[in-house]
Amino acid sequence: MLAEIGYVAAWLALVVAVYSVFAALLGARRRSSSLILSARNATFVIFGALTVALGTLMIALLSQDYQIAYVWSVSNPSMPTFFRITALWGSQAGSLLFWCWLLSVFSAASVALNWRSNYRLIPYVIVFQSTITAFFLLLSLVIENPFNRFWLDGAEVVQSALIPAGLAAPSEFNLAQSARGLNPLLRHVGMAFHPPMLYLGFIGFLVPCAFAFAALVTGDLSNNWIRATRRWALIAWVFLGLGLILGGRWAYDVLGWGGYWGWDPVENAAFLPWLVGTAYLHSIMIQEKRGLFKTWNMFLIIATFSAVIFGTFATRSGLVESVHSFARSDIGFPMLLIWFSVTLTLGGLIVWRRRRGELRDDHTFSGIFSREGLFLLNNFVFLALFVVIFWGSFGAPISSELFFNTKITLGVEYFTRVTPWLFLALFILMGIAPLSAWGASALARLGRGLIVPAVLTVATLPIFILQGHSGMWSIIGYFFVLLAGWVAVYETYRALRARVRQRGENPITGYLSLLRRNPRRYGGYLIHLGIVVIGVGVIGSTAYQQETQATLRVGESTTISGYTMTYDRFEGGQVAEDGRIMDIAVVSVWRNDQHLATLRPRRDFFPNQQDMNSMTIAGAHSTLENDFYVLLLNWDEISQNSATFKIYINPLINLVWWGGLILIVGTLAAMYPNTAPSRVESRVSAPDRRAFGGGRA
Amino acid sequence: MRKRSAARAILALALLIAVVVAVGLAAAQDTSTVTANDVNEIAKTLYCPVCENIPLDTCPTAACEDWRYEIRLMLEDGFTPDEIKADFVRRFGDRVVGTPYDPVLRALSFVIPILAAVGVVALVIYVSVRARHTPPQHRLDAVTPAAQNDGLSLQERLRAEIERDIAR
Repeated sequence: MLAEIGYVAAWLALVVAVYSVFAALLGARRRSSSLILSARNATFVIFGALTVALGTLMIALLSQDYQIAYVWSVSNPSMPTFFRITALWGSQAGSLLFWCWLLSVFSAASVALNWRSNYRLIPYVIVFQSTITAFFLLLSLVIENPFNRFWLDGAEVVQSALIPAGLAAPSEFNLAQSARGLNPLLRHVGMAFHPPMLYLGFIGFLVPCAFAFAALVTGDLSNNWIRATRRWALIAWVFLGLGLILGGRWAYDVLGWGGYWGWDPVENAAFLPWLVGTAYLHSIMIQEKRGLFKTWNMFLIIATFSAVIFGTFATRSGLVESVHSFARSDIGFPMLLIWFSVTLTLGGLIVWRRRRGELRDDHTFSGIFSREGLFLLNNFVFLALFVVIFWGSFGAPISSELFFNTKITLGVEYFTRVTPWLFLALFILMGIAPLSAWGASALARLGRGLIVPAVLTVATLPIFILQGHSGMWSIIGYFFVLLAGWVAVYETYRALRARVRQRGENPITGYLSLLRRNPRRYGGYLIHLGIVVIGVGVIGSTAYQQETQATLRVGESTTISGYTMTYDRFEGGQVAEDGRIMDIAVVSVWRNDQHLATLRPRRDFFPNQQDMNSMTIAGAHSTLENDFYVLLLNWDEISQNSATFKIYINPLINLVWWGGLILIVGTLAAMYPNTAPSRVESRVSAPDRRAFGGGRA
Repeated sequence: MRKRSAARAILALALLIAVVVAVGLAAAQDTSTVTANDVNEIAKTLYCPVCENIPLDTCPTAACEDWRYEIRLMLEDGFTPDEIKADFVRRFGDRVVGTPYDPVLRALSFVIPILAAVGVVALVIYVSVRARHTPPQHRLDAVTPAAQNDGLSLQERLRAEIERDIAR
């Protein structure tokens, strides 16, 4: 019954989505407010229907309804409730329905929140969002139906969402006995949050792109669409960033290779929209402040959404091979089609409006050392990064197979050669741009502004050099990364000092007032600081990682980088609550004759799992200085007296996670409503809104 | 005489044993010089020929364990890291290395992103120059293209635009 309810609700959502597209189009064309209102209400119905559909699938997972093929394929009776919930996105069919539900959430919320303020744009926003939702729903229902049930056709088991005539349902008991369970790699707390975060990031960019589409169609090419979507873009950006960081943490904990970023195509597919999205978030500030780069901003948001669809296509279609692909199916061709159609349509609209002269800038570009000039440079560096990473992940492997009939892999070696220069350029720009002014800036002024941060940077560098991080390139890297950080800190300090002096506020109140008064600037500095902390962590953990492999007998020790590890004992065949069998090595870690920790690296074995049935879980002792990270590779199965370990020392790796946290705080601060300046802004832009039939701002 | 020949035979046997032991020890010494870290150093730069983008040093499959053992044997036989990598490429193709060995593919892999970067720089210059020479458009132009230069004030033009919009 659950399957039938979910199936009907999902079809209802699809029919209503198609209706909303036509109602919105007709409403906009005939200027019929009732049709537009109906289209708006339809987006709420889609959300409601998909909530029911997703809810039934969740209930089916929790109530262990193994008659539903999806539930059978991603869960089994021994799985704890927590992983039953995360199994919702554990495979293609469920994750696609979850994706559709998130699309409906964003569509309904964006329409509800912008209904009055952007009335003229709304019909086309609905057209775009509902078209995308309808497409993914169609994929879900036709190709990857999560509500298919098992039926017995004689001796054969068939899957069908509809109740076939004359067929019986198989025994619940037999199904429960044979249920597969969730892929072991996905049984990690990080996987509870990583996919939803990534999906939220991906789907979040739907809203700005839909408004850009609406602006292009209606001709309302003022800043309205940017004002309406800035926070949506920030939400999408922070979720995508969070998803990437959580994905890195998951890889570090579960994949057992001592790192968090392997330049894998699927990792890169999620990183690409983040890069263009970051360029977009910088670039829209130029349009808001100076009325420049209107075409460019349209291009950037379309490129971001296009990268989102391409990334989804690449990950879910099996276009590229990856250890991160958990959801592959036949949805490749339709995905390619929608990616191509959306990109071509939106690109065509930009060209059309540009040729009509409607995307011309309001002011002239005033030089490369102005804030807008430096932001433009930053945009190009982001774009260059996008190009080289796209080429390495997809372009080169696909081209070589198409034109040379040869499979190639562009791996870490390629990416570590081509990307560091561009990242360095980004950090240099991150250091300089906050010191520049809108309109024009003199080089001398920029130089003067850099003196104090540069001195602070030089004073900080010895901390890293004394830790042995003294390679020339890493010192250069640390210098520019730290410089960007000190610029953010110093600029905040200067503003805070002035405020404390003028108003006599205490520093904490003063800082909170700064954030309230200008959240974009001071939230932005916090974001920069987060990126700087991540940057320092990346340099340290990449350039100075140490590793060793050793086979030890019980009681023997090995040393690495001042640490001594002793193999204490082996605890084999421990059975966990969820049925997995754990083989654990107990080791002690010492430094300068001081006992630091007892670690338990282990190998988990999942007896009921068919494909991937074992996992290597590291033991780690974490400090801000480094991680002592040990993997159990092998052991003597008979005597259990000896075991082989791989040990990594990962310097500064924890800064990557801490930087992520600062990034989130900064983004939340940047999203904080800014009342004082917006009053000024609304006075300036009010005629535009009224002219286009909008209500209150 | 017989004693002397017996002593010579014992001496010869002792020498033989010594040589065998020495060779054996030397051979044993040779084997122990190749460590797991040496193997991993090379395996790290290779990808598993059958898995999905997994470096050979961390791939947990039995096949990869065998390939790591092959690397060990090749190191013991005196192969250099480059020779070992070339051998893997010969057997499994360019997908086992992080950048292709084939000179054409290698050049393409690196030249295209450089060309793209040059293209981006050219784009920067083009946009900067073009933006400097393009006259700005007044904000109102986007709202009322038809109302330009008609001698009306800003407010009058906006009012006309709003009325036109309402009338539509």
